[in-house]
Amino acid sequence: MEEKNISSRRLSVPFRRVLWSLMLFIGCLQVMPAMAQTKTVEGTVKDEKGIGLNGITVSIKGGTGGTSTNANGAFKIMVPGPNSVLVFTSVGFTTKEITVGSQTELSVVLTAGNASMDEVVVVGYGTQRKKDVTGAISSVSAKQIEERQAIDVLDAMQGQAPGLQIAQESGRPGAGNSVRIRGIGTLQGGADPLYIVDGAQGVNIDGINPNDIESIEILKDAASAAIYGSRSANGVVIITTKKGREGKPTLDVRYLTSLSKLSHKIPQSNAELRRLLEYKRNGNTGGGFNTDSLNPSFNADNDYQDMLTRTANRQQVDVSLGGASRNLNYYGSLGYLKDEGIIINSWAKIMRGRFNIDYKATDKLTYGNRIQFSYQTENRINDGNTLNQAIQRPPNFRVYLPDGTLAGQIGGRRNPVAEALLRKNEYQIMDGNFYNYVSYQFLPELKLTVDANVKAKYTHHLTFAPRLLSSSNDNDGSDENDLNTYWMTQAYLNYNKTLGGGHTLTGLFGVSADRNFNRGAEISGTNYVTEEVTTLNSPQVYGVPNSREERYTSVSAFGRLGYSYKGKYLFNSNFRADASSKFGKQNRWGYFPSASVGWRFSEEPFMRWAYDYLSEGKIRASYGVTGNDRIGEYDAIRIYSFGESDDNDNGNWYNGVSGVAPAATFGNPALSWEETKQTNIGLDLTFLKGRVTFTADYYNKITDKLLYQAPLPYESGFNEVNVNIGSIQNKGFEFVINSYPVRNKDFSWNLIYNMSFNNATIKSLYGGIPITSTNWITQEGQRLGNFYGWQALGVYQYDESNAYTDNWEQLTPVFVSGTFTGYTLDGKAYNGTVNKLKTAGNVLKGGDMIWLNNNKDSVIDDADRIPLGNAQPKWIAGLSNQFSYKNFSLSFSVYVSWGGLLYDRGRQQLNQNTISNVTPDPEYIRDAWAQPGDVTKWPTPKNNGMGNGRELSSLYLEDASFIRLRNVRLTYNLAKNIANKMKLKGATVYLYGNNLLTYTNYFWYDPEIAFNNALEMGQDSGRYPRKREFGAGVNLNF
Amino acid sequence: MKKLIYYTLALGLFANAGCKKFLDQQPISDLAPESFWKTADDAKTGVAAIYDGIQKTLNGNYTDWGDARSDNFTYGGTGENQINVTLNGLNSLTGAANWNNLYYTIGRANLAIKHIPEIPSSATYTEAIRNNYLAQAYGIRAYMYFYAIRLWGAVPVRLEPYEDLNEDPLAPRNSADSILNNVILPDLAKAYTLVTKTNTNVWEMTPAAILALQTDVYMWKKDYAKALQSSQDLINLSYKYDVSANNFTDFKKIFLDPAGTKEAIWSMHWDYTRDGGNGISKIGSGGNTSQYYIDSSVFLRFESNKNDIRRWATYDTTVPLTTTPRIIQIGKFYPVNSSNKPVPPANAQNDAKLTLYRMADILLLRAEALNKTSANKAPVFTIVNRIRTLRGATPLVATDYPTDSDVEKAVLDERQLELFAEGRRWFDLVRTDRVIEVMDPMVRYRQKLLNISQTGFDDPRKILWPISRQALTRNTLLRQNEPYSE
Repeated sequence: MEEKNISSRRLSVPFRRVLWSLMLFIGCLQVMPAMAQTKTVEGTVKDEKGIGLNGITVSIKGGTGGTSTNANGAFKIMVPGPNSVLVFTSVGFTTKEITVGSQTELSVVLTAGNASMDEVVVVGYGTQRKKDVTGAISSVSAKQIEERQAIDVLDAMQGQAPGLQIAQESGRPGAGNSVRIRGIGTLQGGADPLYIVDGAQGVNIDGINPNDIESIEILKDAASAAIYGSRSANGVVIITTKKGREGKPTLDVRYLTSLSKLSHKIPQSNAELRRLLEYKRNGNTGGGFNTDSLNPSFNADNDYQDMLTRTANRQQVDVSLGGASRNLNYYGSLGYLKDEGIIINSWAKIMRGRFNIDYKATDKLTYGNRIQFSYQTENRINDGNTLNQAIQRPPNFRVYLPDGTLAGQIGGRRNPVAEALLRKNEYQIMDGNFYNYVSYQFLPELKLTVDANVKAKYTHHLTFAPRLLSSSNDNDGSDENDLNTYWMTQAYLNYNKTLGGGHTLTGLFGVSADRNFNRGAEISGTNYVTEEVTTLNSPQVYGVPNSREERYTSVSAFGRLGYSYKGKYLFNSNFRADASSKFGKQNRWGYFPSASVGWRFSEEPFMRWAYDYLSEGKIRASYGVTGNDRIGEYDAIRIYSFGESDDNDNGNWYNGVSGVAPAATFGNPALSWEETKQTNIGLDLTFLKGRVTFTADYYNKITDKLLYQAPLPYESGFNEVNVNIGSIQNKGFEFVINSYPVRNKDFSWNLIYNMSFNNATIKSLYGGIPITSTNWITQEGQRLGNFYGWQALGVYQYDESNAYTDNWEQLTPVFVSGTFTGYTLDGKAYNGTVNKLKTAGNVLKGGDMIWLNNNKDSVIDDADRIPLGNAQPKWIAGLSNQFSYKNFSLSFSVYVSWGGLLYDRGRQQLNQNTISNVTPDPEYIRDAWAQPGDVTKWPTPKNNGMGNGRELSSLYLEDASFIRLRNVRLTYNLAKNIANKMKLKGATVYLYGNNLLTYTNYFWYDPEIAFNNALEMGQDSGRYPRKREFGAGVNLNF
Repeated sequence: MKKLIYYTLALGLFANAGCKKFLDQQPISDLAPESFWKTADDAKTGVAAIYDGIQKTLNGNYTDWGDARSDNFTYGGTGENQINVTLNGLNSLTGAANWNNLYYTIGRANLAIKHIPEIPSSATYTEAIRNNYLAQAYGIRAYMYFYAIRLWGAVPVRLEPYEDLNEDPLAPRNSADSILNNVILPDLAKAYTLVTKTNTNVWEMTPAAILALQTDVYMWKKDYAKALQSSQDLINLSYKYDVSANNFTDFKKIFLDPAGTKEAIWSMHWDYTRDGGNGISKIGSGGNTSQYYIDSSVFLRFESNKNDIRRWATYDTTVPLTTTPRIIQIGKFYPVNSSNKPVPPANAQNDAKLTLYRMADILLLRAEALNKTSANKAPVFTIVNRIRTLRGATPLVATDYPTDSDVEKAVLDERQLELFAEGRRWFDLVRTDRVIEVMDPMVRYRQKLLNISQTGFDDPRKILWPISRQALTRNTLLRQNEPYSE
């Protein structure tokens, strides 16, 4: 009860604040002069050759409305008065501003080129002209997103900007993504960037329809990101959604449908190979062979990958409506996406809606909102129970009973088809976000904005596994509810003034506060009354129900100062102070300053001569401090816990009493922010009037005071402690080239290439103690993502091959007509002592793996583990092309990730022989050692306790490099005159393909892997594979 | 404009005042340390957490530590870990080599020992109640250290809770002897003084449990006189613990309803809905496979006397041996169906109540001590034969066992059948220095079956467990047990 009281009281604070400000403004309004007269202006926009330009944006400077030109370049717009300034913008053309004055007809000529520099980019709490930007910011436009047929925001950004690495966790519909900007600079502090949607934090980006996005800005360096202080160390992604355009309302209807398939199958053993395996394991006489040819259980020969996958269909419909008048600008959309997965019975359906309004109540007062909601349902297939089981299960096991119904488990192996069809793992996610702002322009140069954002997200998760799937003939299920609420309120002043003599001054000052709250509850049960009913009134035996709550709060103050002289010498500085309830009382406040400078040397008189070639040139340099606050709510507090919690599934119950015990993680009251200091040096060049642009950045990002859970000696009674010690360095270089190799009236070719290099290294750790997890070692002075395990050197040919000198050099056994006679070393007979290697207490024999004996003792054990290579790619690159010919355009993009190792754990699990019914891959079964003398890299195909399948073996570290043709799209724009006849403003039809070709040497499904955990990079445990998709769609504009 | 500035300032002040409070967020679903150890209920829940620590420590390790390395079990299936444990191939990555839960339990006991006395007494929370809680904490701490020295020899000792990060968490290893004399025995003495003498709750550290543990500790120390004294004290308790089960139903009661029989002294409570699945499913589960199978040598000993009630209480004797060559399920801890066939539960629903101490165990330890302290073997055989007669086995004839060693072996053999799968056999072999004698041929045989070189139980230093790699990395003062790799 108390919770509710607290929340309502807290919630009222920002509302009260907004209300106060509102009243204030209304008070001021009464003295405002009456509205100015309006008038209509018409005109045409043409290029230098006199050809009418289509789609040029015409907007009123400082206003909300706008329109765009028609196919002939004509436009019509209402302006407030003679002092209005019209702004004409379009990609590929120089922006032009014209003061209306007394004119009612305008003829505007736009010159091509130099375009990108006049574009406006969104920075924190405001916008900047691209040419004034001094930080490292990449932008993705609505046009680029459209080319992709993106499913969600992250899909839209992938491969579009240098320094940005996005990988989907798996090919499952609705799967999450990992987004890394300039590598990973944290161990456990959370590595995802901060998302800002239309100025608000905490918005669920999965609820955004990519078609509603106007632009995405990626703030990469500290100087750009530091305005968001303690949440900005992983970079900031700013998403701006669409607004209405002035003129008649536009109604857009978009529809697309596609078919997808498994992009390739991996080799899998058939029944014959399974028999070969039994023969190699047990010989002719041993068990394992099925001798009953009539037994329906063991006489199949299944192709499980065919049985488990399908051609999946995706359908997407979007409707959007937008428009603007002089005072009101509105945009609304509704979209529905139905996405089937390529594994049978996997699907996701999502409905997304948006409503944006900006209302200019007076010349000075603007009110607006951004309302977003989404509803998603999903059946999430468990990769482990379906795909992995399908690959491992003996191919001769039954899937169906003779009567055609699904079979259950057999020989300890799940039936993957039954798992996919019968196991329920359903999610229902409802999400709503309500953002409001009021801004007031006190003076032409001073504006106050007060906003409040409220979010609520509800997740419902229902699982059920029927009796058929269980090994113990029990059904079981669970029902989980999670509620997340978040509010944030901000108030800030923007100042923008051009002084005499070419001095321009910009300023920003603001404060904000936010609060986040989570509540989760779960019940579970078994022995359902009936399998027809899977809600939680059905179980006859219940697990312990549980619910938990967490809350954090933070407050901030921030400011920015910018100065530019004649647009040539640029300076920007940000400052932010943040306090968060997550941190220890002594270290509650963090301060995040940054500064950046830029020099547009192309504006200097001495560069005039080069203007024909180099139209724009800028050097940027920045330095700043950013922070990371993404840790648990109560990590700074030592807690006693009870009941079920994240790190303690069963609580501390004993004999009916719920025991209370300290949490295994020791709370550290001195816990503080993770601090990232980043230096960035960048260069922007524009050649040949915008035909070629080039941007390059070098950065050095050092994260200090690393937040992580350092191991404590168990003898203390604790497992770990949250500390602020240690440091990671990310150094890198990235560039992007955007060019138009051909551009004329009918044909243009746009080529964009981006490339990034990043390397993350550990500088220091708590007490210098390396962090070892099962397959990785993280130690000072080494790269992040080093694999740690045993180096495989082959397989002992004979029992006698396990023979070494005192120096542990391997001897070669000599056989004369099959009889062992002695050893040679380097071709010479050897008569010294012969040492044999042991492992797990036993002597290694023919058919066992030869491991590198690193510490040169007589035992192969964990002390022989060495770093085996690194998971980080050397570089990643994206190449996109767009060809336009008259009404046709063809685009394609290629993505490359080069270097780095990937642990093929799916294959390792297949080939370790610890479970007799797991069937290794065909190559393994054919080539595995079977008799003395066999030369092979695959050990004897049975488990003899000698650790031949041990984790981590270098045998399963594979090159993760790949080149992928990510998407191709062919578009036809219906000619204007035909469209008009059909009462349409425009129409577009297109065909596209995603994930069409991949070049890689990787064995398993897909080398593209998400980098979720800095300590455990690059492991593929057999994920839901990515699909190959072909689709077609149509866009209609009314 | 001016007005606005005032309003902004006022608002700012208002915000600032609320700011400190706004930022002070206490856990909602957990407790901060200053809110705990305040009331009688806190003592109760704090002590329950120590017992929970035993559950976590012995969940699975009950078998791995006490039985799996002995001649009771051999590897089942093809899992690597089982093979390593049963073929003396332990290494620092073997899961059961990790002592984390054992020390968490000690940590919880240390907290209770420090903070329970701070809780003010009241009419309902009397001195006696408080002392009984403390007795639990001392008793369990001794029990955990006793496990530790038997498994790893010398181990670090911590008798105070770790509550401040500025305190050095590193501690070196102390010798097993010093821990025995300076920690375990004093803790047990203190526990016995503090415990409520009338407490007979089989799920708790009762006076009987303390004396049973004390007997076991003295036997390990080879202080037979003291062991006899402790066990005699136990026999003399006013609540008369004794062996009595002479039929199948009564014998099963020791495992299924220990509170209902005076044979059980101390058992570990388990409720799968609260505690999760019980690790004893390693030797018998609802699935069709077990990690460890009963070894043929002890199986044949069971089979040699079909009337022994312990035989059909241990495994399903109705399984026809012709089609299933091995018994793979031990049903000792599980209920039986109408035809007295044990029904192993599903792994996740295993409710087995594991015996920690019971009277037959203590009486046979007493027999072992009597053999060591006196030339007169009659009292030894009295004890052994009393148990054998109850359980349906023929009495032993003293003259068949001419030497002290033979008598000791007779007692150990009896313990093996009586206490099979109850986490005793390995420690029996170590205590009586019989590991090499028993296990060397056993390991050789298993190596032969796996077609690997027959090296046997090659190094007596491997009787101790290796220290886990995790523990070694975390505490730089620790050195690995020889001959395991540092």
